[in-house]
Formats: sequence, C-alpha cells, structure tokens
Amino acid sequence: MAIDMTEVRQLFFEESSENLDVMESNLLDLEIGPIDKELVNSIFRAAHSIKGGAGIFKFEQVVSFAHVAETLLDEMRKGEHLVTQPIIDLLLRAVDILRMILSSLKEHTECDWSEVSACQTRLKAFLKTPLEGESAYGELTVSEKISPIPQSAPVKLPEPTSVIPAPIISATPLATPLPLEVPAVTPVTPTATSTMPASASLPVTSTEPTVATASTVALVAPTNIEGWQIIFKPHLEMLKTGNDPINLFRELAGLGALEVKADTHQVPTFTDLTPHSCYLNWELMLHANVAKSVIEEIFEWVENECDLQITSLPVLSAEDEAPIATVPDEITTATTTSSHDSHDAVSSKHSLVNSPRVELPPPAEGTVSNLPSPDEDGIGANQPLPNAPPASNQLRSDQVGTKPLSPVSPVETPLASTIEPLAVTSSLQCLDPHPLEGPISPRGNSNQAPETGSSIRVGIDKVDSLINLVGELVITQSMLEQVGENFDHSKLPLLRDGLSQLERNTRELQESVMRIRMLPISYSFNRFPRLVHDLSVQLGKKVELKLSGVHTELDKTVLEKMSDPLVHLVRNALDHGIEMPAQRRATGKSEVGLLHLHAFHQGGSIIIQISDDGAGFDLARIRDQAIKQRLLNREDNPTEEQLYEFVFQPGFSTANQVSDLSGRGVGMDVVRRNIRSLGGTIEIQSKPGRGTTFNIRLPLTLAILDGQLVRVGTEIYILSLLSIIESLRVKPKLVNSLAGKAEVYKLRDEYIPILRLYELFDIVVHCTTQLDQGLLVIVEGDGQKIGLFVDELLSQQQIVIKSLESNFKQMQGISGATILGDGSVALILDVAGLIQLFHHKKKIPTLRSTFTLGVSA
Amino acid sequence: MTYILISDDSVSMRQMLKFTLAEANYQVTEANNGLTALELAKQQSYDLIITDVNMPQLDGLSLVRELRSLPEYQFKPILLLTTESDPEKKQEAKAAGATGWILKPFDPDKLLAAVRKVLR
Repeated sequence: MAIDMTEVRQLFFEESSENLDVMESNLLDLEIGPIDKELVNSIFRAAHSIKGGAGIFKFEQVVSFAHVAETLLDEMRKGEHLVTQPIIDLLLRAVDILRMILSSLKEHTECDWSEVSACQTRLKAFLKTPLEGESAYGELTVSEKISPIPQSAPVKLPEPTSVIPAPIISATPLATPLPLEVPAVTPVTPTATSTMPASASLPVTSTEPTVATASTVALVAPTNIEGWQIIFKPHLEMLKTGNDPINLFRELAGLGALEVKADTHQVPTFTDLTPHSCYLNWELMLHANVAKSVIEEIFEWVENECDLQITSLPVLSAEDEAPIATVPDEITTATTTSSHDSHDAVSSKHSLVNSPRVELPPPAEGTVSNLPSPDEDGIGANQPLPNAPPASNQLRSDQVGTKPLSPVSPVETPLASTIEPLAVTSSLQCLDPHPLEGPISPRGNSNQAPETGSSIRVGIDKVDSLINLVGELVITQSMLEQVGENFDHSKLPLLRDGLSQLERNTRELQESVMRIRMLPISYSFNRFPRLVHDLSVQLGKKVELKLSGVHTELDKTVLEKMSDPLVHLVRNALDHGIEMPAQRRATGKSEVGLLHLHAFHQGGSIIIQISDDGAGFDLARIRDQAIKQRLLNREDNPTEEQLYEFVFQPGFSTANQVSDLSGRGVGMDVVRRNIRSLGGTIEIQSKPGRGTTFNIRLPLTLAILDGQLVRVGTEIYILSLLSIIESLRVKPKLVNSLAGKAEVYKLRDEYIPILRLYELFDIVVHCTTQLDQGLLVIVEGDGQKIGLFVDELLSQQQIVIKSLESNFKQMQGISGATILGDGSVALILDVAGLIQLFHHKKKIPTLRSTFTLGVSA
Repeated sequence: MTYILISDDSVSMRQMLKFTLAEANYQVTEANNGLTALELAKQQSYDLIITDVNMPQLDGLSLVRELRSLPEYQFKPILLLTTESDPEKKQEAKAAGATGWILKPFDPDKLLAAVRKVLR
C-alpha cells in the first residue's frame, strides 16, 4: 500500500499559499521601529510551517530558502533587529520568491534560481549569527540544477508479512528466555526473588540467522560478533517523561541479540517504594555489529535522564562468555535444565508472545505482577497470572494487519514450545523496529502533467447544511412515494403538500449548493495591501488602504475574473487618482491619500466600490481628448455620464505621460469588457478635487439567474429579471421613426430604441408584427436602455444557465441557454450584446447614436 | 486499538501524520491547535500524543506541561514535532515533560519508528 501523497501535496500548496498570504499581510502591518512580537511570531510561524511541510515533500529548495528567512524572523522576534523598511521589503521579496518556487514546483515548471539565490544571499547578509547546519540545508547555488519535479514521496508501508524467519535455536533450552518485562516487574514482586531470577538474561534473536547458532542459547553469545555493553542507569524521574525502558530495550533487541540484566540493588522495601520512580539499573549486552551512534540514537530521548555508558565489546569468543554467565551475588541468572524449566519455557512463551504489546503496568507502579503462566497447562506455574489470555488469542488480536500466526498451543513439547515463542518474537521484530525498509520509489505518475482541475475549500458548515438538506429531500421523496401508492383523490392535498415541500427543498438545496461556490471577497482584496504598499513606495505617494465588507461572498468564478479588473482600477487610482503628497497639501488635503475598497450586497447583486480621495476626473480634459480623437463633435454638449463613457473607450487616455503603471489607454475598456462578460456593470462617479468612485455591480452568481420568459412567435427567450426595468403596451403614437433607421419609443422624457426581436432572430411564423399587439420590455444594459418587442411575457423562474460557448459557440446577444421544464431549450438574451447588435445592424455607431438621441431628447 | 492524538496547525502536516499513522493501523484524532488538543485529551484517553511546537493559542511546550499535570497523562508518551535541532531546545522540550521529539522534516518511516519507540 502506498500512501497517495498527491492529495497531501495539493493541500500543502494551498496551505503554503495561505501561509504566504499571512506572512505578507502581517509584514505589511509591521510598523517601523521596535518589534511587534505577536506579528513577528505569526510571520515566523507561517514561514516555519512552510519549511516543515516542504521538508516532508523533499522540496529542499523551499526548505533551504525558508530556513534563512525563518532564521532572520527568529532573530527579529528575539529582538535582535529593529523593524526597518529594508527588512520589510526584503522579507516581502522573500515571500514572493517562496511563492515563485512553490508555484514552479506545483506547475512543474522551471523557476529563476538566480533570483532565489540572490534573495537568499541578501537575507543572509542580514543575519546576525551565521547559519548553523548550513551543509545540512544545502547552499543553493545558481549552478545547481534542481529538478522542478519534486520527488513525490509515496510511502511504501510494509506489506503484512507472515513470513517468520526460521529461528535457529538449540534443542536444549538452557536458559529461560524471559520476557522483556521481567526485569521491570520482578523487583516489585517480593516473592519473585525466590522463585524467579532477579535478573534475566534475555535472548532475543535477531533476524540474522547467525545469531544463536551456538549450541547453547541466550547466554552463549554468538562468536565473532562485535557487540556493545550498555550500562543504563535511569534517573529516578525518567518515567515522568513517558519514556519506558522496555521500549528502549525493544529497539535495541531489534538490532541484534540482546541480553538484559537488571540490577535491583536500589529497589527499596515495598513500604518505601515510590510508585513513579525508576529504581532499576540495567546492564545490557547487545550482540550486533552496529555503529555506536545507532545505539546512542535509541537513547537520544533519555540522554539527560539517565547515566549511560556504551562501550564496545571485544570480539567475543566462547571463553569470553564465562564472565557474563557468572552469577554474581545479587544477580541470579536463570540457567536450569530441569524438566521443570520446560514449563518455564512454556510460560515464558506467553510472556514473549505478549511482551510486545500487552499492557503491563509501568515498571514502578508498584503493581505486584508475576511472570505469566498459563492456567491450562497446570504445571509448574509459580503464580498463575490472572486472566492470562491464551497465546493464540493474543496473537490474533495483536497482529493487526498481519495474518495471524499459527495458534500456539500452550501445552507442547519443551522443544516445540521453546522454538515457537522465539519464532513469534523474531517475527515481531521484523515487523517492529524497521518496518519501512521498502525502497521509496518515485510514484509512477509523478511526472504526469499537473492537476488541471481547480479545487475549492469549503467551510464544513456549508457541507453540513447540504447534507441536512439532502436528508430532508429524501424524507420528502419517501413521503411522495407513499402518496403515490394507491393514489386516489382523497390524497390530493397530501400530494400538493408534498410537492410544495419538494419545491422548498429544491430551492434550499440549490441555494445551499450555490453557497459552496461562494468565497469571501477578501480572497481578492487581500492582495491589495501589498500592491498598494509597493506602488505607493514606487510612486512616492502616501496612501492608506481601507478594506471593508471583506466577508461579502461572491461566486468563485466571478471572484477570479474580477481579480484583474480590480487590480487595474486600484493601480489607476494610485497612479492618476491620488496626488503627490505636496500637491495634496497644497489643496488642503491630508498628505495621506485614502483608497477604499468596499463590497456589499444590494438586491441580487454584489457591489464593489473602489473610491479614492484624489484629484477626480478632469472632465474638460476628457472632452478635449474625445474631440481630438474625433469621438465627439466640438459643438456637442455631452452630459457627465456620457463623458465618463469615453474613459471606457479603447485607446482613450487623458494621461499626459505614459507611466509604467498605467496611462496607456489600454485597460478601462478591458476592465469593462471583463465586468460585462460577468453580467456586471461599472459606473463612475467623480468630483474634481474630491476623488473618484467606481461602482461595479456584479451578479451573485453566474450559474443561476432569475429569469423572465418571453415569447416571440413560437420561440421562448429568457431575460434576466435584473435587466428589466418595465414592460408596457406600446402606444403607437409614442413611436417615432428616426430617419428610417430606427424606431424610438418616447417613454416619459426618454427616447428608447425599439428592437423587434422577431426581426433580429428572423422569426416569421406566428409572430406579432404590430407594435400595439405585443409588449415592449424595457431593459437596461451597460447604462443604455432598449425596448425589446416581444409577443407576450410568460412566467418568471430561476434559470440554470448552460453555457452556449462550451457547447456551441459564442453568439453576440445571447449569453447562454437553459432547459425548460418541458425539456425544450430556450436561449438567454444578453441585453448589452443585443444593444450592440442593434446598433451594428442599424449602422449607427454606439456612442454617437446614444448621443444624438440623448441630445435630441 | 492504539489511539493517537495529533496536534498541528498545518493541515497538510496533519494529513501527512494521519495518513501515515492510519496506514499503520493507529486510530488518529486531529487537533488544529494546542487548546483543542488539550480539550480532546481530557475527553478521551490517548495512548500517544504528537504535537507541533509552534501553534497558535497554546504552543506545543505549554501543551505538554498542561498534559503532564493531568493524572491521565503523567506517564503517557508525548512527542514533539520540531525543526529545532539545537540541544537547548531539546532540553526545553524535556523539561516540559516531552518523551521525545521528531525532527522535521521527517519521512513516514522516521515517524513510525519514533511512534513505535514509545508505544508498547
């Protein structure tokens, strides 16, 4: 089984980008001067998380870079640096670099390593203390070729193994292989010393077959194998950090044959015994050819809680074993060969079987416990352990994920029973200490193209409410099903109830699903502090950015598509709107300009306002420019609104100078096109010297709209309810023809062009052609009104928009299609597009025509 | 069943821990900060707690101290996830009562080895 890391990696990228946002916004909040500890801490944490996560995925470049940044931040929070503009700027740069590296890793593209390394060098220059462990993190140099495709780390977990390495054990059990627990347990058992050895030499076979090939078991160390003597004296309080000697011993046993001798010297009498203290000392013999560091690593966590002495054993020969086998006064070694011992062996089998996982009380808790002895064999049990589970059961329950080993019957011949427990231990060993030896092979698909589908993170409450609603839907469905059985007229009210309930469920479910696509606008707004910071530095202006309504939610697609237009508008406001500090002072304004981004709901729309308190639009200059570009006649007298309209014309710019940022006349038209493509509108309010406000109105969602069905001939079209101003019966005397080109309808003080839909769509069958017999639907799009002539209005309903573009092709004047209740397809009309189409057909340039009309009105 | 509580403010780190541990048949519960971890630990007894050091609300070291003051967790293994390799930090961890530490970055093998080292 390999863990699928792709998903986790995706998560890491998302999270890192959030962390980078946090870093960025906190960096921007930092004020020059003394350290704001809370802020720096939070920046540090974010950098730290990125580093930690990156390490797991072996993104060494990220780790190395983040480490330097983190070190600087660490120094900052320790108060070693003051916050200065250069530091902030550099750290912001670091955020950018990290973002760049991460995105190149995510997209599997190359990134500019020279920039990375340049920034890294600059970061290092700030550090007070030279970096330790430089080599460990690896200096990043430009020449280093770093593959953009990370080694995704699929992790091979051990396949459950049932292979038990054949233990080679002498047929004569000379020693009692005691369970690992024994050294810990015996001392607190007053009787144990008489019946049991106080110290136990424990043979633990390693998987190496060479172990225990000698004719004696346990005490006879295998010849010609290097080993280690470990004197381990835990301090009294070692247990208080949750470390348990038995775990350490098990680790050691995983390295090779291990002998464990406990020194019970310091165990006080029962009455003086403190349950939570560790009174035992151990002498361990590890017969394994391993480096000292491996052993030290095992004791790493208790380093300062014990006295540890690790000395290498000379290469052992048979003679050398004598001293070990010698029984010192206080340490008895269990070495018997009597038949009685075969039972000990049997019983020890249980403990061995049990040992790795059976819950025994912590060594010094004072529990009087004994060597487990099976009840059922009935012989030689010193003190039967209450409820000693049968070995086979124990095995099954313990061997999670592995095939149960063959049940071990407790009563066996001594030979067999000696072997089996060892067989069990060795199999456990090969499972336990180094279970993950499998090679970490790169995933086969790691080189595939990056995931294309974008994901969305949804609050759990939204999902819960969805589940809840689906539950209700199921209830309604079953209720309707009940009604449907043996239906007769008496059940009609029930059916009606059910259907109205179904309608409610559907609506709520729909709203709920739509909510999933909704994201707070802060996702988009949050990039602006940085942008404004950078721009204002660049322009030498002082700007305060105010964000409000950041929790206003809008559709993810809308949000994404709005991103660029918003950036453009913010840039414009900074570049052209807000004046230089001196100029502002001169006009009696505060030096610091205010840029306010505000989002809120209004009706079925979201309004985003971008306002500044800058110079405002210079209408006279717009007029001059419009005349210069022949968009306006000198004698025309356009209204303010009409003048602002020029701003959205391609190639129109009033800027004296083309700057880096804006002023090329490219942009506002694109901004408006983007907004329009989302079904939104943009309008300008501006007062000279007081500032400008852009109002962007966007639909809540793109997927569903409140639609008005209209009929033209046999066709049904859909208009967005929001675009409809009013519908009226045409009074023929109010219709005027303009030079044979267009018809206009005089509505109160306005002249509204009439667009006969049947004409536009070439519908000839069954349609009303007489204006007074149909209806005129006055709609508004892009600030222009138009009257659509239709046969009749049908119902209003919520329309699920199906894209025409993706299924057919883009059509001007049509924004999409939907499937009606009867299964037929209806087209959704795009008012702004229709207006353009209308002007195009009538060969009237859009602006001029509105003008003429407006003026003549 | 062995119950492990993991506490980390990073989702990916939690996922990583959870995946690895769950694959090894441990029962894993997640907490996204120290405070939550402490609350969870009080509600149910866990055999092992693995916690990040840098966390909002309640950091890893404080969590260890809090846990050690509870009778239930006086002797339970608690491992810290840390990137700090300097001995000073390690001593701080030990002083707080941590059983041991897992150095980040770690791979699943290392994690499981460390876990097995403290679980019976």
